[in-house]
Amino acid sequence: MTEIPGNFVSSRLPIVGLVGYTVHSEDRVLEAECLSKSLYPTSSEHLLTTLVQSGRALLPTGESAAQYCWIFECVRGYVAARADGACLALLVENNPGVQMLRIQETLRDFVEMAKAE
Amino acid sequence: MEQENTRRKQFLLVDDDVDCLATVTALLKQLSKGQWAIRTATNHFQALEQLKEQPVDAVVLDVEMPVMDGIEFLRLLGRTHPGQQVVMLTGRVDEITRKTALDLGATLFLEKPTTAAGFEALFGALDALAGAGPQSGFRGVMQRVELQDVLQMECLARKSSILVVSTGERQGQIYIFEGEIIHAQSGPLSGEMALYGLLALTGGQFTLQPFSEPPRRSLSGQYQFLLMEAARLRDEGGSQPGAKRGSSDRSLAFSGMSIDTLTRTEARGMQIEEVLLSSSAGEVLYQWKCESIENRLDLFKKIEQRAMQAAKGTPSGRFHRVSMETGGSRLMVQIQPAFKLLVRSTLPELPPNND
Repeated sequence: MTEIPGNFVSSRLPIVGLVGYTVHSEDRVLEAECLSKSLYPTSSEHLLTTLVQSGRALLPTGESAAQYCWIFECVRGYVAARADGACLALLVENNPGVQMLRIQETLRDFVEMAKAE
Repeated sequence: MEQENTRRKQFLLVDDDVDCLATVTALLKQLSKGQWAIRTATNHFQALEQLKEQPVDAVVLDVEMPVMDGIEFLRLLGRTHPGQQVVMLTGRVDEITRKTALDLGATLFLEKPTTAAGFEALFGALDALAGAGPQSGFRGVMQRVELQDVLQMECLARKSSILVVSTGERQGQIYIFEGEIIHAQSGPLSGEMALYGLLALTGGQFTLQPFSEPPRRSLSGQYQFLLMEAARLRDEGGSQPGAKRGSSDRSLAFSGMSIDTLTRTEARGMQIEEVLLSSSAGEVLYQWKCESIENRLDLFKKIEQRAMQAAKGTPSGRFHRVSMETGGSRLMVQIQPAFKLLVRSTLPELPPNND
């Protein structure tokens, strides 16, 4: 698996609307951060991890990179899944003030990182 | 005060701005063609006196009033006239006031119209709210619904109608004929651009009017696809303040697409590979090229379960949908209280972007 810099997400912060994120290898959570005081860190991690695992299990893409977007009433979970099994999951508020371009850029760069190797 | 025939729909308009009150009253009377009895009050005291004298179908209440503002009066009405339908009108829409009003029991929270079309939309909403004479079927008012939901209902029932949408600044019409969306118009835009633009609106008013043939038919194809595409565009591009028309080639990569770019390219060349629409109970309402219905119904169930499991203990709210994109294909699964929908599609090869 292509190495993921420890500051891959943190170096891009702040991103308006981003309330939490997790970075996953094929089989474990490498990093989890909750950026909102209105969420428990464990809840945020649980939510994102479940979305990552659900995407892999229910909507598998084989060896292709993929992007998932899970939409709830108040939040969205974006998951960028790389061909090498690594995933980046971003938990984002569901409101028009979110910096969507930066969210999308972060997801895209995460996938591109593996391709560049 | 006017004494009107009690069989007519009864309204009480409350606004401290006398000029505004007179204008709104005159316009609504004109639109009602004499079918409405409208009484007016310029403060809460007069309004209560009016209500004591004769009940009304709906109170139309200005939010910004001195002494006791609309919200306070709404709270008071909740105690003195429980069950009274109240429509709040405001010149400045803000989310906190809207939520407070709806929480306090306001039936509708609307922006004060400033255009003829806006007044027509307001009239339509109030007219529907006040009910009509005896006729078959149910009548009612839906609150806080999305336009997609209304379109879905019309299409599923294979109805013919015109959905007239209005916000303070924008008006448009969506024509539905026998369950298919055949035309959309919004200002100078028509067709897909108009439809997606209208469905991206985050608030406003709508009325359903009897169908009449549009000037032309600018839309064709499955309504499910149009609605899903609109939802996707809104989700992915609607909140991108920096998204601009045909932007750099980065905008064409991996979902970072702008609404305009997508509408110009994908929406016209996308190939639908599979569609499945089922009721919430799992009854298949429509399917197209669905190879294993059983598997797909099972997928609906599992996605719903997983989403609920994921959201447990968080303030995420109800699950709406999931989309998955890989290479040139996309799968979307939408879970609504009344239906479940799956659309699988492939994208055409994108041409080089020279913008």
